[in-house]
Parts: sequence; C-alpha cells; structure tokens
Amino acid sequence: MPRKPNNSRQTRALLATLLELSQIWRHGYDLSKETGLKSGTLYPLLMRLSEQGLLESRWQDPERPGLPARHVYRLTPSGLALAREQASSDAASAIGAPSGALA
Amino acid sequence: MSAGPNRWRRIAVKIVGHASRVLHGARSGWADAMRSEIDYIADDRAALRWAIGCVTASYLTRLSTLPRLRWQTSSGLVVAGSALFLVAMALQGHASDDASPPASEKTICDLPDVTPDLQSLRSQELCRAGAAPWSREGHDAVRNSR
Repeated sequence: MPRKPNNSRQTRALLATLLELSQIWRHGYDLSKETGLKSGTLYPLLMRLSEQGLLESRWQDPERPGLPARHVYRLTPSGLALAREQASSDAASAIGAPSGALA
Repeated sequence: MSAGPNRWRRIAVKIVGHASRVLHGARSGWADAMRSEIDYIADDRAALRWAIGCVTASYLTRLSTLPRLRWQTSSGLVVAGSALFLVAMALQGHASDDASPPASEKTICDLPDVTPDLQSLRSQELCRAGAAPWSREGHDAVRNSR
C-alpha cells in the first residue's frame, strides 16, 4: 500500500506551524525553533513542499545593513487547504482518543 | 585565553559553505537560504548546529535527486548477485547430499582380493618341487609338474 504523502510527524508539525500565522512570511530559523525541527530535517521538507506547490517563498530585504537577505516562506492556497485538512483530522483523532489514557 | 566564539562561527560558516557547494544547480537558491540564516543566529554554538544540519540537508537532497535509473540498476545487480549465490549454494548442497559412489566404482572396489591366494599357491608349488624359488631347476620342476 503506498504511503500517504506529507503525512509524517515532521511535515504535519511544519504545516501546523505555518497554518498558525498563515499570512505572515516565516524565516527558516524561526520555523526551526517553533517546530523543534533541525535544519537538516526542515529544509528538505521546505524544498519538497515548495516543489509540490504547497509553499511559496521569496527573498526578504535585510533587517539591518550588513546582513544578508533572508528566504521567507508561507503556505499557498493549496498548502493552506492541506494544512487545514490535517489539522481537522488531528483534532478528530484527539477527540476520539481514550480520555483515561493519562489517568 | 579563548578563541571560542569566533572560532565556532568560522567553522559554522565553512560548513555552510560546503553545504552550498553540495547543493548546486537548481537548488543553489536553497543553499543561499540556509547560509543567510547563519548571520541571524546570535549564539555561535547554535549557528554551528544549524550549519551541521544544513550539510545534512544538502547531502540528503543531493542523494534524493540522483537518477532513479542508477538506483534501479544497482539494486538489480544486487538481486541478480543474490540469486546467483542462492543457486550456487543449492547446487553445492545437492552435490554434498549425493555421497554414494556410482555403481561401476562400487563394483570395482568390491572385487575380492585374489593376490594372497595366488601367492600361497605359488609357495605350495615351490615347496612341492623342493627347489629354490628363483633357480633354474626349480622353475623347470614347477613347469613339468603342471
């Protein structure tokens, strides 16, 4: 049975983080800190989502003189749809989970 | 004296430079993206960790873009080699199970050894003739007795 794409724990965490502030362009280092993903995991995910048309990116002017421009990211409409779908399925599975698991 | 902070950052910058060399071509923009983040990370050790992750990402991405045909070819070679090895092992096992010798060889090996009988017969004849074994008289006596 083929594996469902973009369903790994890391991808779901990244999509959920990007969904929280979906209109704001996010930096790679900020995403790494928020998701807890190392750069070695984060950037291959960003590249893949970008190739799939779920993520858009652009170069942002430096915040201060002497610093380089930063690459920033946000979800495309199709990426937003996928992130919302995954968020709702996560919420549904959390509701369906046994409540006495931690008791 | 400590050369700490600057040294870690210099190492991080070198590592990220290597990562960007690994990621060339269409992915070079991503390499620049990873490299530019280093300058926004205040902590030098965090910058080093970031750089190591960038190298990992570069190699992972580079490996994932290798031609699929090459991977299929190498995996096909491994499968063919394994199959040949299994066939060879099966043939070797079959040969070692068949340990009994062929019928003709058994027939030859099971023939009775007649040499002692011939020797004893010759000794008896020589004794009967009363001659030394290799004397001319003895030899003639044996021949005449037949």
